[in-house]
Amino acid sequence: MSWEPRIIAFLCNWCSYAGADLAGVSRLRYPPTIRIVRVPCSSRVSPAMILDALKSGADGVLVSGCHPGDCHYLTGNLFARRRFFMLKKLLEFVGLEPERVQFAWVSASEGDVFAKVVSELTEKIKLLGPNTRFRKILGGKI
Amino acid sequence: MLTEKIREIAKKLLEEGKIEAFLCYEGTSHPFRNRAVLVKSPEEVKKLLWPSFGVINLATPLQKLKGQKAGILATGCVSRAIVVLIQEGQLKREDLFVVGVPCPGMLDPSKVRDKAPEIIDVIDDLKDEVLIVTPEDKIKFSREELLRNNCQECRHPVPPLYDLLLDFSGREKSPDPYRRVQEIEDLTLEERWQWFEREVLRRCFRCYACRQACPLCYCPTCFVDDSRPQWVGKTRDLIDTALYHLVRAYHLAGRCVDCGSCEAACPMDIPLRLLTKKLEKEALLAFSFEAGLDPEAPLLFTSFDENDPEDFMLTSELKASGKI
Amino acid sequence: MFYFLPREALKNWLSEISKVHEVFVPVSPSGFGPYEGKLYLEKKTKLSAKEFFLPWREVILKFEARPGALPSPVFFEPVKERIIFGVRPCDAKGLTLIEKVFGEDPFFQKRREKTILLGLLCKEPGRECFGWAMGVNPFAGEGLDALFLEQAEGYLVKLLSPKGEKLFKDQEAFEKVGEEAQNSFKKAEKEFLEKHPKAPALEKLKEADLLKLYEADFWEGLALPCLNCGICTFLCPTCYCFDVQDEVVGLEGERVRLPEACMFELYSRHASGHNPRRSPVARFRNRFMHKFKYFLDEYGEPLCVGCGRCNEECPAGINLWEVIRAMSTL
Repeated sequence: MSWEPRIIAFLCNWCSYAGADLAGVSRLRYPPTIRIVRVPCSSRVSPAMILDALKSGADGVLVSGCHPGDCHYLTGNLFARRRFFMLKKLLEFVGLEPERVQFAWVSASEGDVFAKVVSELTEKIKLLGPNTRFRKILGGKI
Repeated sequence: MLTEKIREIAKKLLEEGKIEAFLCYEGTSHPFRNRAVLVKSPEEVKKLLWPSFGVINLATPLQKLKGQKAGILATGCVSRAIVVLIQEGQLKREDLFVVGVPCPGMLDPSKVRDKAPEIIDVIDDLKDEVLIVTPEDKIKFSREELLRNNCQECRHPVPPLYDLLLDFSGREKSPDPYRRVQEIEDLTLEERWQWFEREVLRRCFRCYACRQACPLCYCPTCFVDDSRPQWVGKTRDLIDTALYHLVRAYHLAGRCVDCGSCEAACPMDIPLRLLTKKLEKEALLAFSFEAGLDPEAPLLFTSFDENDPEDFMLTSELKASGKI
Repeated sequence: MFYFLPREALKNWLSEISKVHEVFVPVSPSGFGPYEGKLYLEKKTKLSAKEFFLPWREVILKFEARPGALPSPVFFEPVKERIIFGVRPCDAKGLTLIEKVFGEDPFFQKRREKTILLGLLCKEPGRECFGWAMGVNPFAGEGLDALFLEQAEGYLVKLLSPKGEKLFKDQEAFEKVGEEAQNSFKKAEKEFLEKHPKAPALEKLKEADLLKLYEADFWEGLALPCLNCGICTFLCPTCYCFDVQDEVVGLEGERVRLPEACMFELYSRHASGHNPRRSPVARFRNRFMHKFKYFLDEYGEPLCVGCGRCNEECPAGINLWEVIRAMSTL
């Protein structure tokens, strides 16, 4: 059996989660690699949550929220954009594979975009292989 | 000399009753270590001195003095840390009397330590030369060579916020503040991880001196100490240590004033500053943002611009390649 | 009994015994490691040999994280017979102090049993050393199995325990030495002790009133520069406080014991959220009261061997002697 990545997806309640739902009811096909965590807003997602997902064995992490201008809380996603930009730069700097952590804007009407995002992300992570670099192993090296 | 100027002004402020106490540095029995000290009477000011090794930012102990009207000696980075603390509601401007000094830079104890097996004294002219006194000899070094890395790379030697600025000519702004960051950036991804593992993760034994020394790490409960959920395991497991260092650095994004206290406090000589310096560089390039210059200005992460970069996002990439 | 090892034979001998035992030596100014030809003997290392006995991660139990599963019986990580060479006498003395508290701790004891400790006397005291003031006689080699004294041509070795005698019984590199050499050891010891007396402060601390010390007003001033980090406790060869954590990854779990520092807020935080040592000053005071009052009253010795690591490494510039002075002149 071929290896399938496990991806944790933090989706905002108002847009991306609904987008994922639309992809489902529209019967769009995309790889069954994601495990969704519904969050109130993309800006709710802290770096500790992303790194904790990787540490606990995720091969990739997706954070997706509303398009700029569409945020239910008006500006949450705009704060989030800055934070994710900085986080990504930091992760790259210390040599963590940047493709493993991805950010996206998916609206409630973009079921097709959501399916595409998941397919593309799955392909990218398949190319990288399993996350061994940032995964905690019990009794690992100290 | 700077020391005399500091004593004079501290004495005057205390005598005039403008402040209840003055926070500065004193000498210790160790030839290259200075220590924060709080003086409360004019008689005590003779303890005070200009610290060539004042490596721990005075804004860190300052936060223990809440409610007292205190004077403080502030170099560029101390003053900038105070600005951030005011922006974040941790200090009140009216509680402080900031005695600014255009900073000549400070010396790095670990650079000095390696110069001779036994060092009795270090004499710093605050300009060009440092004399290291050994039992047999006095050895001359160029001051630039012995400066702390963050002083060599300092962008703001002159304090942006002060009540009184001492008359002194400090260092010039560094022309090349991101040279060391660039050296790491130039490595391949694989080499950067090896660097991180070797220089940071394997050395760290989780004493949290970096967190404790930082003037801007003031959370009543640090995320490391959260137990529900426990984000970070407590052992020296490399991944837990990595999580600690990444989130610690990230929490300082757009806040760090590059005072170098974290790196100076580290007993294992971990190049901690490089992580925060990298974030400082990105904030400057992408958002033209520098921390701690204006108490009225918004912080990096409490503000945004509609045109902030988003080409790092997966949806932008898919759009550019015509896939969505 | 005494032996002699020519200086140039040391590395050879370490390689020889490495074939039979696990051998650890100081490998760099930071600390110990397995012997692979590298040897750092100039000064004492930053991290002491404490980490071999109270390791950074001691697994004490294993379990499966699923309902109904019973944990394994108490787990002992297998420890091989090992030799640690180059331990400073103060650090070994530190182990004997820890032993007063951990005498019945099976994990600590197991590690002690399996280890042969070979000490090395410093040529000269370091800048921050004050072991003698704490009543440590380095020549006595407390806690060691043998003690090496460096001389002009090589090392004079004093055997201190049956374990040490057994090890050296058939080591060809070593020659037995006569009375003259033994006398040179005793002479060096006598000279050292004459120059380095025990601090009178200890007697005063024994007599001092505990509550008065506790309530003294010097603590606040002394603690102002303190960062409340864990450097002094982790580097200290006598600090033994620990934490117990359950680590779970997937369905596998381990209960581990690890060093912890009384300087941390989390250390004394109760499950209820209450913290009896909430303020930084209270935690600062506790560390010194533990070392120089509670332990002293309980065992007649301070919980300090004067290695000076805390003074040397404290980034805030805190000096233990200033604290002792304040405490003993109250």
